[in-house]
Amino acid sequence: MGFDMRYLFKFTKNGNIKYISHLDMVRLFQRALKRADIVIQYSQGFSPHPKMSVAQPLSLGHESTGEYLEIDTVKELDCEELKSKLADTMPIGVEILSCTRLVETKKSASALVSLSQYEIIFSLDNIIGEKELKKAVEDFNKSEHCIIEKLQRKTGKTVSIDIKEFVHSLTISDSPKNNREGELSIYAVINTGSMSHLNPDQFMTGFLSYLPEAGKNSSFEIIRREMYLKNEKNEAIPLCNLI
Amino acid sequence: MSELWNKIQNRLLQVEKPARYIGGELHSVVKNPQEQRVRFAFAFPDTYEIGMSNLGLQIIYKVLNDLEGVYCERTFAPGPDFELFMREDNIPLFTVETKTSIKEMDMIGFTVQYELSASNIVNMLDLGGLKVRASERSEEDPFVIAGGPCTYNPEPLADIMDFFFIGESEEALPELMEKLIKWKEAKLPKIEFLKEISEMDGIYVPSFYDVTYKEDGTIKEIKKTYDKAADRVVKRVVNNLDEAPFPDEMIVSFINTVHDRALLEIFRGCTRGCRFCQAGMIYRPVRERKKDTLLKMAENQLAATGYEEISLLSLSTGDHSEIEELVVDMMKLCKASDVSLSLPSLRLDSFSFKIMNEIQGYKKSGLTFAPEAGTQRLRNIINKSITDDDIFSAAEQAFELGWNKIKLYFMIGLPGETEEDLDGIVEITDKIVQLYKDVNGGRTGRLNISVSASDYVPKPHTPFQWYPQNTEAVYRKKHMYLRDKFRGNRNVSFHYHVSETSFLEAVFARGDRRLCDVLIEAVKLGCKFDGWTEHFDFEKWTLAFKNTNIDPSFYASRERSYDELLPWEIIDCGVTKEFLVLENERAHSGLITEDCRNDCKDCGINNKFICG
Repeated sequence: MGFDMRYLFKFTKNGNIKYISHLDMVRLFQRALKRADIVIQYSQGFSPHPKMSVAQPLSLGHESTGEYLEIDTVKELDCEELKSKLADTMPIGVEILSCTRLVETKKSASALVSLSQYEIIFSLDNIIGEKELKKAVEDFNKSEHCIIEKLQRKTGKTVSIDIKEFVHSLTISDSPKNNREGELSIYAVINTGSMSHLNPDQFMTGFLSYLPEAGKNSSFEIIRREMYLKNEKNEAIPLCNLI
Repeated sequence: MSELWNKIQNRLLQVEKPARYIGGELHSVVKNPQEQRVRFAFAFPDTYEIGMSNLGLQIIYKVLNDLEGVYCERTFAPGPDFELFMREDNIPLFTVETKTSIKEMDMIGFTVQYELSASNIVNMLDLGGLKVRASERSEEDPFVIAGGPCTYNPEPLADIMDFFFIGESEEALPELMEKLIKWKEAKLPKIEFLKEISEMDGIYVPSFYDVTYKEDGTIKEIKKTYDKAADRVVKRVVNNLDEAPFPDEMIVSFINTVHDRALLEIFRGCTRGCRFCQAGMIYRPVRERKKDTLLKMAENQLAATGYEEISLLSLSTGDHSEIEELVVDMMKLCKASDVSLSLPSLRLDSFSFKIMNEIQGYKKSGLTFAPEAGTQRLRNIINKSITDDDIFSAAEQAFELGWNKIKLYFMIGLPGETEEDLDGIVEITDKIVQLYKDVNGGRTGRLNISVSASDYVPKPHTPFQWYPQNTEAVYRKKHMYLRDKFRGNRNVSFHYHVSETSFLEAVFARGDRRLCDVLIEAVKLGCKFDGWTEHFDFEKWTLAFKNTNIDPSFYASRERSYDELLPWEIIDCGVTKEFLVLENERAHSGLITEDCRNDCKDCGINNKFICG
């Protein structure tokens, strides 16, 4: 019992699937696991629920190649078999990238997540080009503070937050080969999770202030690329490296 | 097409539930549109979440897509928020599979499950860039058709639809599509197609009939203008339900729908003969699926969908001839697959309790009883075969097994109703509270009784089809009367609906062709989603009636005579007028007509169909 038969899947959320919510994804996996005949353990207690979780909600409309599903099964299963059984029953846009069995990790992997890496792909135009983006990234990194207004849903009040506290790193794509013609990416590693959280839209609100005024309406796409936890040495480890 | 999708995507993050518009669900069908000979849009006149719970959609989707050369896609009423953007950005109503404008389809089929979907139908046609009236559409426009239970009185939509399909379409659709393909390839005018199909059973082409009226507003004559059209359109029925197509691979929605579960249709039709019930009349004769067929279907569906709940559907589940063994085997299957079983429409007998107790286990949800009327006398009039004893012993058993939540369904405004019958509703409820106290040592803390009183709508093809509906004023008085009687009773919550909705339902259920003008006017004034309390606007409807000079109470609240030519008589549901008259007369004398399963009551259905 307990954490003996715990498996971690990495999956994508691409294309039209980006329009379904986190809860919809949980439901999607619940049904997929049933179709694939992968029996999940239930928790104890008065209101038993299936022991599975999808790590860290992704905002509606964002794509990802670094999402994670964690399950506890009743039987021990082979990782490759698990991966292909689940993959066979996925809708278009959800690709199962890997499956690992968690043996040494005793805590829930989802709960360990503390960082997300987002790739923000800009469509370059005559206002925002490579030069402007490079400068914006440099200026952001040099700044000590970057204040944005955040609307607190519960109270309806707006509070000021300094997004620099939440940004682990910001870099620009080091080679034009990484992007399509007319596009350029920046990579932001940002705090994620219950301890400290900034969502990428909030980050962008702050970052856009470093672009020339006219560029504030530039078009960009946000894709989550990976999730990390921090080890004892405070290094960022991709979740899929957990064992 | 992809330009349209770009326009749509630009707005998706600004609207509620963008997943309504994306398609791509498990088991949704992707075909190459260029390789198809005919394209069909199944149009559900409500939002995606409601449409995706409709079993008819799943059946027809499968039947059509199984046909070579036919591609059936789905379209739904857009949410009001998205509709605003659609009109602003010039986004026409589109199918969710390929995001194709419905105007490019060969045929658009609406299912009318509820009378007040009519305004959404009109709005959807408008959003599709199509003229609402059939007579104004061009040869290039798709055929617009309708099916579903409300088409048993098709007349309010008669000016809008090119034709109606009356009855069960599983077996007729392949035939219909074949004819459509041939017609399309022969490049003939639309009238030729309509002429050909009007000779098929179940097809009603309204333009082949002229309706004239008397001075008093009732119908003078329904005259055929095409001599080969049917004198009366006989509904289409699937004779062998056991072998009829049924989807194992139902489309599984991404988002929550009204019913997120596997569906098993165990039989069609009903033999109870309740006099208020239209479904019991129009779905005759009874046809069952065999237990073994059903178990196989259940297994296949659960394996294909991964649903965690399965529901058995029929008009009266307890009446299936193999119900006991079926339920026992289903429960075994459900236990083994960790799936919960839902059994709506059960009778209140000891077998049902045994089952419900096992199903709900230690965590019981509610139980629903439908006495429908407050006294035995009124129950006899409406032929609802449940006695006071049945109700009370059922309640007692339920409480003894640990249930605390009961729902009681009643109707008000039934023929022959008096104040005593309303009092009966209260008395029954009070007695049930007392029973609970008796079983639970005087305590009532956890008892929760929900009493619901629906405004009765007399429906076509029932023995009460001549009965005038209580006026809104009368319904309001009855609501207040009951509400006052239940006031202060902490264990009882009393529910009723806005009477204007029931009034409008009656108007459209019992109306004729002249209602089309009202409908179009109402939609022009902004009416849509009339089934939703937040959108229903009776003032607009009242204005629409005024502007078109039509008195709605002529349809809802007028008592009809036996020799009035009723608008829906053009449709033959198999049950004869003689039988309906006889049942109505028996109702007046308070005489019960027993279940006809073993003792035929000569309703007439076996004149045209295989029954019993």
